[in-house]
Amino acid sequence: MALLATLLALRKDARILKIPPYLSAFLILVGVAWLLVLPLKEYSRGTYVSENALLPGQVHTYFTGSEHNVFRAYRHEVAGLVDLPVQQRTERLSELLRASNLKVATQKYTYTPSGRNISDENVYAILQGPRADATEAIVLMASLKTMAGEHNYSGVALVLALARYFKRWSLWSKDIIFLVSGDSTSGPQAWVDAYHDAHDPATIESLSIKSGALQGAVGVEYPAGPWGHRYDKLHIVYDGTNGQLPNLDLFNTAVNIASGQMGIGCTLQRMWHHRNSYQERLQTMLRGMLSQGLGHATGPHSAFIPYHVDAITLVTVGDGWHDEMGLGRTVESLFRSLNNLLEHLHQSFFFYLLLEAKRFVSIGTYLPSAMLIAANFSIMAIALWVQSGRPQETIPNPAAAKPAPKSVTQDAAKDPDHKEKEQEQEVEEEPLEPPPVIVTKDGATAIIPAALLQVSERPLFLPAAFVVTAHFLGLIPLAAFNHIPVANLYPSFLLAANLTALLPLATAYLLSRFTRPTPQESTLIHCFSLLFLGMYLSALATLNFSQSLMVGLLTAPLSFVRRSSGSRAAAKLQFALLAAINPVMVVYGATYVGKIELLDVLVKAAEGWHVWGMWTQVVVWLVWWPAWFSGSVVVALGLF
Amino acid sequence: MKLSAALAPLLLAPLAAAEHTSNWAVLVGTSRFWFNYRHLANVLSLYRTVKRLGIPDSQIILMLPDDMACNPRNAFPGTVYNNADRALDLYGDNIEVDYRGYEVTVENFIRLMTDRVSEDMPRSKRLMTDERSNILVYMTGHGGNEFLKFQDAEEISAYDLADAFGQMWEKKRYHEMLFMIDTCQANTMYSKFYSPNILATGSSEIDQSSYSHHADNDVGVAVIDRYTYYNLEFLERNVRDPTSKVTMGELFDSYNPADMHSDPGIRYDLFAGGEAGARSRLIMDFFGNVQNVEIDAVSQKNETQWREELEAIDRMILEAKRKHNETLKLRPQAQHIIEEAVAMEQQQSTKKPGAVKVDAESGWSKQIVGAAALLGFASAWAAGSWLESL
Repeated sequence: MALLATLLALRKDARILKIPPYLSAFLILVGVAWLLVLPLKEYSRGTYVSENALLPGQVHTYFTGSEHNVFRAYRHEVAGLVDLPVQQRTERLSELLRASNLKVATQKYTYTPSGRNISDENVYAILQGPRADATEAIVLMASLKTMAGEHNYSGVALVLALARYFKRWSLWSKDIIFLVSGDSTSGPQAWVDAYHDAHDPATIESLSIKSGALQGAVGVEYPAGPWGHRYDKLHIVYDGTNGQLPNLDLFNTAVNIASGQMGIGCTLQRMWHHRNSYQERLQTMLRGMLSQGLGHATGPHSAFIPYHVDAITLVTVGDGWHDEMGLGRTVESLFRSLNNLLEHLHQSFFFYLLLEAKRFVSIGTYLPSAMLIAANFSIMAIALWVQSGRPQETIPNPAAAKPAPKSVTQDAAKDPDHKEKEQEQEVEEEPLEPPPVIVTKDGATAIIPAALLQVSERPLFLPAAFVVTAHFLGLIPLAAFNHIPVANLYPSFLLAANLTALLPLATAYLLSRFTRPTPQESTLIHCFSLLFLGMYLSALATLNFSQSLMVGLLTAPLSFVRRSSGSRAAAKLQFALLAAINPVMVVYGATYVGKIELLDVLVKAAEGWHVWGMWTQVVVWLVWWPAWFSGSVVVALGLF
Repeated sequence: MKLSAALAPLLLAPLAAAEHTSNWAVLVGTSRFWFNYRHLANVLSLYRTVKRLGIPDSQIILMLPDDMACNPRNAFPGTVYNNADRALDLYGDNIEVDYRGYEVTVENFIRLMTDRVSEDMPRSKRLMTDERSNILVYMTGHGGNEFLKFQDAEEISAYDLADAFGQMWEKKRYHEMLFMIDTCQANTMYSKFYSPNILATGSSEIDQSSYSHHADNDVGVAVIDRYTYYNLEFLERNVRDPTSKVTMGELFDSYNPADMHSDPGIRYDLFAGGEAGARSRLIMDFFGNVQNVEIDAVSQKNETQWREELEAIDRMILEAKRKHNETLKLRPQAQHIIEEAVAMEQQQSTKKPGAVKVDAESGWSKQIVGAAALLGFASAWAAGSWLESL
């Protein structure tokens, strides 16, 4: 009981409110340090295939010999058709697939994000497993254009050659779908949406033939022209839309087969030369996190992952000695492994960070870092809530024994600091005690500082209305940037940048005209805003760890800014800091540092919203921006 | 139960000494799915061996939970091979599966062994043995410490198995039994047996995995387990026909842990005659179906004794002749019936992570870490108080 009473008494301790800022800062530091130790060997693990059924690399592959001539013939065919009009190209591709005795169908699609017109046609063919029951299917695909915008001659030719080759095997336990899509992201997206009847039939054609539940998808990008090109490594791309990842087993199987069985090195996240040092592992991890945090589509496979279809894309990179048949055999072996599957890939991780092709960190190890950073906001929100309920006068520290000031008057209680300065006493640093109140209850008498007995009401309406309005305000830029035509995107962005920078000042000025909010109300605005931010980010950390971490770090200063009551300089400094981490400025700065066209980012973002189902803008405009706006207004109030 | 178990060897010693008159084999695979191809190949290999050595299909209970021959993933439809050379199709054209697919359950297996089946159970699904029957029980699948998984849903424990065999003994359902098991930690499966006359052998010790022998790169899966492979190799080489006199001891001596990558175990103590008795049993006593009659004319000592007896009878007859003036015919005596059978076995492989033992040392170190953390908090608090009071 005594312990409990002591702990309860601690709630009244003035020191309790001094801890949270340090605790928050500590959590952020630990969160970042946590991330930095992950690439160490002690905190990461080697990858392993946990699904027994996969048996990677246990089969001989026979895609070789005369198949090479077949492949070369297809490559010339593809080289001849890439520049044809869509209609003729589709007919020619259909003809080639039909010649392999496959059922062929086509799909037209049109998207109009930002007033652009993305329309093309997918061609696909279904190989029905000779002894299969048509309840499951796996997809092999190549888009006519790679992610980099090159013609994917050899990739498409490889799909055609493998379609012809796979047709002659009798051992398929699932149907195999060969998909040649018009472009690398919207084509597969239109196809996979239509496959699951989640498309808009007005602009996207429904599929005329389908197979069973998709179990996996593999994309091939091999932009070698009609005369071939020998490559050095396979770049395995695995990020899905919104940072969702395919099951780690699929990635591991691909690495296992390519490097173990075929002797082709594997690389990831554009780390072409990975010597497996700490720096390179860290760099790989951070690149992976950036890609995941942006949530954009990274290849034809990205569209499949939101439908819980595990998918990867194999991209050939560099100049080396591996030829197209090596890639073909890798795909063959990969499909034999997928063919062995008895149920959906589920054994291995869906949440992981890869450090190199054979090393990873699983969610249990990395999640705490983002959670700690998200928790810092919640802690500060609670601290601000408690602070807003405290009386404005200073309460003496009951635990510290010290001599009472000799002359304490009623005046001193009302304005102790002021009085203290006037009187120039030696105990200057110590707060003066307000007059005690004597309380008698059940025969016991206690002397309690009067301030402790004051009831301070929290006015909740204005702070709550303000924070909710700030969040709804985010809907305006969200809607605007997703619907403004390309020509107006850049001016709109500049407008948004200016408005966003000035809006907190204007709001603070307007509010200060009405002598609201009071210091207590501004504390509550800050409190609610951080509370929302902490909740959003911890929930987001379980869905898209990297995004949560990035937003968490960029908004971290919000925990520490305050409405300054005294010095203007402090308020100006804080406001300048917040202006620098304005979401719009961060986007602008990132494009400048990354040497990317800002317009491209805006166009892709709108495409992501309309085509890929990307949620990144929602987080930016409805989580990050309102939090930043609320914090900035609180700081700006100190200026007026 | 304990009393009967203790007394059983004494009471039944005379019976045990008698010869068996029939041979049965119960061959059980317990795993499904394409990647467990090797377990089905293990069982079919044993099936083929006991048939080769003479046990008829009517006396073999074959339990196969999956049909690899008809799996769409099989590059060679309609076949099952136990070797990458694919010289021998185990499926062949004459195979009789008694329990298939989801009929292979723990309940059905125990009902089969103890004959607790409904009246309308077909004879092909019953183990119709008596106290003069030798039984070979071979099991393979995925197992662990004192259990063996049946399909993906259930498992049989070493106690279940021991009780089933105990009940069989009480119900006079076997004369002698050879139990072989090929699975991970296989030796734990026979550790709980208590009924007499069981000779048990398994592929691996506790905490050991049993491994597959090799994979066929066109079929794409491992085709046989090591323990079964080396048992088969011995049987194929040394037990070529039903007249073989190779003993169980010779089979056990052929086990090489280096080949098997695990330590096969043998349990002799339940067997009448102990280790010596068990080792001298012929393989054909379990793996074959030999009831032919042989005259034992080999032993010199018997022959002397036999001649002496003959002479004594001779004298008796002469005496009688003399007395009764009659003619009697002499007969040779003592025909020995010798039956031989060969026992087979199997194994299995899987790795099970064991429980982590918290030893005193790490327990202490954790307590020290905990105490240090508490001290740290306390000192942080004290420092705060001190700073505050300045």
